[in-house]
Amino acid sequence: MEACLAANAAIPSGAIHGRITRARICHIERRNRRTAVYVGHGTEFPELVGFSVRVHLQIALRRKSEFARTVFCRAPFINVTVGREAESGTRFPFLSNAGRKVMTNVSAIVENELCPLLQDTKTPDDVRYFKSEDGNAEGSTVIRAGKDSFQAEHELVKLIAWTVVTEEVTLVECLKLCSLLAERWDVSCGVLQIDFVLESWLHAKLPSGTLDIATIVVMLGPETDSPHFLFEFIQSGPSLVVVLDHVPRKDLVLDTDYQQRFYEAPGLDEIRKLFEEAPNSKPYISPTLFVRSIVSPTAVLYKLNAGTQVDGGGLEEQIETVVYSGSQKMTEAWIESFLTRGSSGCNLEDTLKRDNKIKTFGFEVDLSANLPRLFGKNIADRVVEAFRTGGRIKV
Amino acid sequence: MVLPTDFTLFGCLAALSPDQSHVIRHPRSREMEAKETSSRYATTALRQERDQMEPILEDVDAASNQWIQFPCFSEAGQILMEEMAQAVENELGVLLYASKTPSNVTRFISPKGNAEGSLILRAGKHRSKVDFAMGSWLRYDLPFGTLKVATLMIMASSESDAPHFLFEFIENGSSSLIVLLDLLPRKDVVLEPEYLKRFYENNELDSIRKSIERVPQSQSYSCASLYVRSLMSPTAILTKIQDWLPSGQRGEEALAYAVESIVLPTAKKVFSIWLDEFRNGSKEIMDDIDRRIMTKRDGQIKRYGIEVDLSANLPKLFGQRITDRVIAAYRNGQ
Repeated sequence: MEACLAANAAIPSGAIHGRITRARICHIERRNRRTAVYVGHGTEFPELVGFSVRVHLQIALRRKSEFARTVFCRAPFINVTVGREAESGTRFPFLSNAGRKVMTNVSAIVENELCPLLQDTKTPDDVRYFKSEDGNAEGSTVIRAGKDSFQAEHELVKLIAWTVVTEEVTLVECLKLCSLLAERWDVSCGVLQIDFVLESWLHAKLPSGTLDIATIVVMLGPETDSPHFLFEFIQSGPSLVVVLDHVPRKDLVLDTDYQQRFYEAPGLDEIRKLFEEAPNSKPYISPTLFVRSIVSPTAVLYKLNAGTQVDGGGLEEQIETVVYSGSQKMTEAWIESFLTRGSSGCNLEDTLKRDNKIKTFGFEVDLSANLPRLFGKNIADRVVEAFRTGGRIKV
Repeated sequence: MVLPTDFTLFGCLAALSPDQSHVIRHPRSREMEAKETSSRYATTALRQERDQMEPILEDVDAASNQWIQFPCFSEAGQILMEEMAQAVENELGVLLYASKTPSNVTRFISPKGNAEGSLILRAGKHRSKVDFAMGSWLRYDLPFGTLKVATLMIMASSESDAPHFLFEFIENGSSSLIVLLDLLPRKDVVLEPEYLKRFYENNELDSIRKSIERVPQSQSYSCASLYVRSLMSPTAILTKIQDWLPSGQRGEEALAYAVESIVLPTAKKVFSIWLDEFRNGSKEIMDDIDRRIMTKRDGQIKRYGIEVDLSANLPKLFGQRITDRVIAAYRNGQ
């Protein structure tokens, strides 16, 4: 249903009608005596399909010492800001509809939850989009670093998850929001946890057919021990490889509590089984031993085939059902782990050391595996350089 | 009662004490062997007789006796396991003491007779690179057939960083086999990619794994236990072999053929790679902290096998008394 908009599509003007289906405080800014609360992003604005929508609630609040007892709230001012979907143009332009749906869904979930913790991207333009000399291959890599402490100092409040289904955000709901804020206003700034969020896609026309690789990676900093997030969608012809995992930060053999906390309790194996039991699914084994070692025991590593149906119709259906719901579940579980299950590490140095190995021997190798042969050395080096310097944490 | 078909015995290890000199072993007379194998149901009288037998000091005659036998398996399965056990004896015998496991742990049977098991441990000699060698098997009758699990494991000691060797062979009634064959890493290979290079990349382990993957009647297999999954190396062979052949043959003969021509040669190859690494590729850990971490890690491997597998599954089959005895045999060397 989500259509892909051309880069210059006009934003509808005039009164826009819709409703807020999920209200979640994702960012709070204090300006004088007014507080802007960024709420969102569960919204239904049918005219704005394909645009990103942010809803701001501006509430005047009293000083924090009085919060415990009273909340004063003027009639909330709801301002809807509409922007274009990602400045870098349409996302994942070469995937099929079903594939694009999967990737944009996961990307949206990640973006919604993490946007206040991320800086704007500093990836150079020639890495945000690149094309091979012979024109047979195109790609894009966009990296957003996590905010560092200086930037986020007094802006950040620990993320509060609060789901509301309403016809409109009424005054009553607004008061609820305020009281929630009140409770948490004194909470210290959210632990800065993100190293970077990477989104990339590759499209190549090869003699054997087309190759499409779409990747979303979230790497976290050593301040938390929550797992990293890895999602790869590799489609070549009639087969699709799905790599979907919460990449562990610790040696699971040594630390059984870690495994219980992040893999057994959230029931991740059930999600893996969805892929295992899908028709025409086979396990996928990465050619690199190291990449095999970094993933968790519940990693989704499966190859789905079109089966015996002509024109790969069966595969599209699989993508729409199994891959869409499986990837959504896995992403939501990752958000949940990130928000609620992580603990601040006491061993920052060890975690950092291990993460650097994952970053250089795992993700970097994976990212750059195909670049030299598809795009040549120059572009490959450029992309790797952007990857190495793009995060908050330097190797 | 549904039991997981990936019941693994190798994990049934807690702290193992190499000092078992105070344990004496009941010799098993020929008559007793005959009685036991002919009757699956050990009678009360037989059990009492066994328990009351006078203990005498162990007669060291290891060369002529196999240190472990696998009586309940199919013919091909038995040959497979006993040949592998013999290979362990041939190659590592000089590093191992004879087994001092008590006889009621080297053979135990459930009160109803529907399940039987054996566990035999051989401690590594003082300061050798082997901590212990373990052989075990379990058979239990299910409505759909008999499940038989055999395990051979060599746990390396803290004298070197060689991987552990693990071989598990499961006969699922007569319809399929499960094979688990791996060199278990001693270190976090993510933190130390050099370990990965040294033991897993510069040899044929992965191409052996690939060739098993390509066998048409094999399919990939996933352990139910997440912990066991996390122990495995990236070149682990974990496969289920169905009872058919490309030639069209089916059933027990197809399985026997698979065991003889695929499983046995593969197990031998992997074992010889392990031996080479154990003898030549492994290093002594000089750093105290690293050594302590490795020892702790090995302890986790031994302990969480028991918690996950044995304590959960043995009581259902054998009752708590036998379970406790078996677990105690590990923990106290008794």
